[in-house]
Amino acid sequence: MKRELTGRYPGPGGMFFFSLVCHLVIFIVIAKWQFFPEFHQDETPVTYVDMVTLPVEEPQSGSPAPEAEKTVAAPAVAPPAPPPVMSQPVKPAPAPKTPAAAQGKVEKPATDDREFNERLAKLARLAEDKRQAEVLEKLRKKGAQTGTPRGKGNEAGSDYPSYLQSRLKDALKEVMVSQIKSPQVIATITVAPDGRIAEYRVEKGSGDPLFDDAVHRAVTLAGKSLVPPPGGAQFKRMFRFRPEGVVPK
Amino acid sequence: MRIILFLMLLLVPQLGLAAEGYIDVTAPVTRKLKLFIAPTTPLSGQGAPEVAQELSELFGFDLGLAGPFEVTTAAPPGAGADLVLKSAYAVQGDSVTLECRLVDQVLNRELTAKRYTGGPKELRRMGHAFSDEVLRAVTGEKGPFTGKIAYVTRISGNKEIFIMDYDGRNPQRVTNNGSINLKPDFAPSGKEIIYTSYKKGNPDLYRRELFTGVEARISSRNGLNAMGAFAPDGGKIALVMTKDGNSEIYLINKEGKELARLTNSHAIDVSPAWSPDGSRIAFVSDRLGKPQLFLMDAEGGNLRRLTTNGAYNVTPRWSPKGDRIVYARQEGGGFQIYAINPDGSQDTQLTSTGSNEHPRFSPDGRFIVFSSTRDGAEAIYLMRADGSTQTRISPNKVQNSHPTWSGNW
Repeated sequence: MKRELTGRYPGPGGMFFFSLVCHLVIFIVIAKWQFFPEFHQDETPVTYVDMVTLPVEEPQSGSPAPEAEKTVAAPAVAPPAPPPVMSQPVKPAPAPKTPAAAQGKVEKPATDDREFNERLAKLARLAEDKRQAEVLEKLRKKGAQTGTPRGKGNEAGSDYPSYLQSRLKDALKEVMVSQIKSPQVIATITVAPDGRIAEYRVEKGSGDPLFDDAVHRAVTLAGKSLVPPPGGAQFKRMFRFRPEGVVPK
Repeated sequence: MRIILFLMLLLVPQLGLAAEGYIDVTAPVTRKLKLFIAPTTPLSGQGAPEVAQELSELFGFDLGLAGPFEVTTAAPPGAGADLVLKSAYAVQGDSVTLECRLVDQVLNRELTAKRYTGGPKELRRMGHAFSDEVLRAVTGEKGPFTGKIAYVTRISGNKEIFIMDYDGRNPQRVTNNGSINLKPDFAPSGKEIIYTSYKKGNPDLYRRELFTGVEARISSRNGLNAMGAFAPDGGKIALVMTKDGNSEIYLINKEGKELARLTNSHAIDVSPAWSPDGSRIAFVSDRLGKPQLFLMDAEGGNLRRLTTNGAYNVTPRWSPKGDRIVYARQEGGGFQIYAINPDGSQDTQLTSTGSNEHPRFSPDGRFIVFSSTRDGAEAIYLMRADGSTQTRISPNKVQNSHPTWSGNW
């Protein structure tokens, strides 16, 4: 009996069934012993940066001041001490000498120290400049990806959608009025390169003329003081206006 | 399971992208439209200060009551007002011309402009007409301010029917028979009323054309012929009769011919009220012991109980949009006004001072007019549909009750 069964070819259907059972067993074994690779979502670290308030040229942080500013420094004020550079080797200070001996001999070493310190400070400023330029470039690239194209990082609104959203929200607070429970208006707003509202098109009204007009007023009010989109480009985006805390159906 | 989770995680970003089509802009709804009513000026020649004053007060009252506006007459235009109402008039002999404009200050555009001409007695009507127009321009729905209110008054000792402007001005007598006249109801056209009168001894139902004064007794069956309610098409009337020994609701046509008996129970069935589409009728019945509101089809079928709270609920009236039914509930020693959805949800109390009865919606559903004893004698008041801004409009200190608000007049 056993010999008959083992020696018999079960046919394509049987082989398929046999294969299915084998695969199922293997799958169950893998699943049971948790041999599946763990799934990790590739998370990109998110950095929230307000591009509007970034200190682009700040002498205190190491950037060289413009030439004109250097010349108008007040003479009565002593020059600021160079910033400490922890990573650079510092020349040891000369040993203190008696006042009599120091009268004629300390002049040259003092000049050397000052020059040395100035050179060190200059190097430190250059290093800081380079580092900051790299960071700015990184941020500019990130802003250009998530915000609007061609953002430089030093004009209002490299994250222009958030900026416009904020302006519209402020304006809507001023004019919000509604007579139905959960109105919402979906509208496309186009901001011209000069910062004025080039087009306001309602894609879907709320059915409440009071709310529709309120949204129109909000867009008009916000449009009076908009900063131009970055990169001299036109900005176009769809917005949904609705009362706070109301979830539209 | 893990595979399914893996596939779902793959799908999530796609779904997120689909929902991320627009940017949300939200703000709290805490504000009204600031409406500046500019001083009324003469169009030409010498002005009539009393005309300017009357119009300014009229616009302030109408639009302040309306709800969406924060009305001011003091601030100069441009000082934060969203809308400006400008009006000018000219009086030439027996003719008055009124020009009104509504300007949106923010959008810098004129929303509506109208010119009215008529006699000096028509001045208030012209003003109300523009108030209606302002609401139409701003909310999309015409205001109810040109409508009239019919009511029962004891001004001459007995109970007579009068009509007046919605704000209590310009009362006019409709009946003068020295008897008891009750429960007026306007036809949808606003040009006719029906009411019950005892002037021939029996409480019969009468129909009267307001402009011609032509009157007809349309139901004089034995017993009570009362609480008539015009159907929305104006061709049928639901009323209460006791001709068969018990108080039941019947359907008759405008000429009084009986069309159908809608209720048939041992209990008292009264106060029929039509839904705005004419498909259903709300009424009061004590078939379960105490007076409660019930709904039925316009043919009398499909009966169901509406109110379950309160031991004594009466006088239902449907809102013009059909979304609410207002009624009076007995509480303590008097009545209070409530509103409920036709499915029985959101049963909300609207009044709490004095005894308040006979609520009726304005033709746009924005207001409810009712009678109240809060200041002593029963008087007519109106409030917004949410119960706010309760305002007395009775033109005198005598007893006034059973108000009903007409549509176009």
